[in-house]
Amino acid sequence: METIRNADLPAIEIYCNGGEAETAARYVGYGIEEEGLPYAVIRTPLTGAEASELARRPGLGVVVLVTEEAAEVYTRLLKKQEPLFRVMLTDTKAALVAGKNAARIVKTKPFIEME
Amino acid sequence: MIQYAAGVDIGNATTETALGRIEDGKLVRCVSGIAATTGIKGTKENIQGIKLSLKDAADKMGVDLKDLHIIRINEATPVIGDFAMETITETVITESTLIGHNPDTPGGVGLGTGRTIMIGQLDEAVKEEKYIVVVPEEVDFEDAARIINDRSKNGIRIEGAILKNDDGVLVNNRLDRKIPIVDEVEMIGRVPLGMLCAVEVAPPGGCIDLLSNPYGIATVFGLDADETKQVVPIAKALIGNRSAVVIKTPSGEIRERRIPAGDIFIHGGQKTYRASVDRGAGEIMAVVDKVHEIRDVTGTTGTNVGGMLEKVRLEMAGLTGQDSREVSIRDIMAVDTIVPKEVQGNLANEFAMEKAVGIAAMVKTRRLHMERLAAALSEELSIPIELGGVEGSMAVRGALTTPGTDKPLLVLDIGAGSTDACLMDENGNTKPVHLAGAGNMVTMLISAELGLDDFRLAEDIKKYPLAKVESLYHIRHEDGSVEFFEEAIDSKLFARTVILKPEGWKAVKTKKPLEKIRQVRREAKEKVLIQNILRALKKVSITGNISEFEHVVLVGGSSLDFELGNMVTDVLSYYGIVSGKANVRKTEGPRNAVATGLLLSYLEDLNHGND
Repeated sequence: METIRNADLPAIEIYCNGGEAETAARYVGYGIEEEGLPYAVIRTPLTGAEASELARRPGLGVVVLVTEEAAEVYTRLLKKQEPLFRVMLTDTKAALVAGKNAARIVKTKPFIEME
Repeated sequence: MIQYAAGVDIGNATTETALGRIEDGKLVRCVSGIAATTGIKGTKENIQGIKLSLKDAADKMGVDLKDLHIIRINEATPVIGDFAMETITETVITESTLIGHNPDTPGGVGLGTGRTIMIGQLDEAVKEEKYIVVVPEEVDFEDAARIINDRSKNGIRIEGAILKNDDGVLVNNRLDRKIPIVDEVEMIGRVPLGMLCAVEVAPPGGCIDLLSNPYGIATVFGLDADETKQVVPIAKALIGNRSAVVIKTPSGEIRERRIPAGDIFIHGGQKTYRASVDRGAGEIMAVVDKVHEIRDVTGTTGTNVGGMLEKVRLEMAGLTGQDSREVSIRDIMAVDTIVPKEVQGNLANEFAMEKAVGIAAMVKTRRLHMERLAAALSEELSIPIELGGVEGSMAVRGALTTPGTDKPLLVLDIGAGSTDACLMDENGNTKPVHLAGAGNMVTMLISAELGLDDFRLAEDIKKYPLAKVESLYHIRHEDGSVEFFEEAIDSKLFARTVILKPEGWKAVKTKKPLEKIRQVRREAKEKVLIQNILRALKKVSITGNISEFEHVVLVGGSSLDFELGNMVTDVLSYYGIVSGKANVRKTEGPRNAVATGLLLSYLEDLNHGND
């Protein structure tokens, strides 16, 4: 399991299974970084249920699951084992916005609306 | 003998019915009906709304419309109101000079000064000069950071950066030496190059200190006293920002301009008084108070205020079929306000808070064509229709069914365009007063002061309380109380201020905090509605002393406002007046006062006729 961190702090974890998804995951990370929060990209395939469970551990309480097509954002703030939102990764801008919005859950700031 | 009689009140927004079952001259049962008014009040288009309102009441009574013996409709108050906003200051930048921009996430902290240079031209930079780098959209954050690091290693002094993209933190995190960075600058192509520039970014939670202070700008750019005076509007526009850029161009000029907003001429019985709009609402209202009875109001031709007053006159003329020269404006109300206006010559949609005056006008004319409406309605329903008494008198009769009220009683009906008051003395004599300025003016102030540019959103802010969505399962109401929910709240509303409309919550998409929105809403109501209530009381009072009144009752749809009743009670209790929302027939709240009054007046006439 390879992990890329931008700081040695509790972070928003971004899970992906390598390849194109990893590139998208990095951009999700940049979105989180622009909002001023730490992130970690972890190359491990994960199911939605697992991501939801991981989000409930102590820490920032947000986990992002990235595939080639979409980014799903899980938070412990939600009772159900469902993503809070799902962003189709049509371009790097969409990945950046997904990251920014994941960080905004922690910051309690309104989400950026996708066009 | 049993008969069914209805009082129908056609308002600007709703048509209300009070339907009574009368047995041997006694009202044994009364029900209400309501429907949206169709068409402009006083026109034949109202018939559809009247029928729906009557049907609503008839269904509740369990009778058919054809069972009705008589209908009384109100004699509508022939007043119409309109309003306009006059900006009387304007910040103008004749050269591109200012980016008073407040992005969510600027990069770095501190102040950087230097000459502006495009990132692609850094090869031509010299070591003796300091630079502020301008980064266009096509350069991504990694390239921008790499170029800045490379050139800095070569001895080029880069002190700050201005970015088109929302990349300020990303660039800063990749720099070997941290610099202040302002990002999300929309019109990056308009940033003048080769000019002396200052970039300031405050730490999170802080506000800029130097560029929001005229002497700070003077210190940065070495300005003399005259030049410092010129930059006051810049400093003013930057107060409260977390980041800002100021660029000094040789011919650049920023000034706060006072716009000639025109004069208002108030024609009294003997004399015409003049008030200058750009001196503010205080002067206008002082002149209005001086005139005992306003005969007409005009404005300087060719100015906004002149145009607005003429528009009101023409609308009323069109509605009544009168010549516009016969229509006179009988009251105006002015309020001072501060509105955010886009700075002329801005680079990143900067706004400056400008002084403005809101003006409402009220026109009184001959009777609206209710007779024609009554005839058309009678023909359609085959029921006799009578025109009832004056609207204000009927409202007082209806309001007197509120438990705890007594004569003398003053009834206040705050509509959309005008504020109507009617006093009934101990002997039953009535004195109506109509004033400019009502609900629509409050909405206009809310919309303008919050920079919403959306009348419907402002209308919702006026009508309903606010809350902040603090998590996916709870909100904090504007009074501080917290409410939890079983189901998750829509994530689109997360962390937003929402309007708690009965049919569903609505997000207020503004960066302004809930407290500011609430403050603007309450101040708008105080400036227009509370002030107008005090004006109305002074006008109907014989002595001009408000304290002479005992009971003041609010009727009409506006009284359903969730906070107005308490605001009025609070203010009037200071004068020892009992005031509050009506509770017509103990069941209807502030609604149905005029319709109930019409029904009661019919009953009275019926019994007098029997005597």
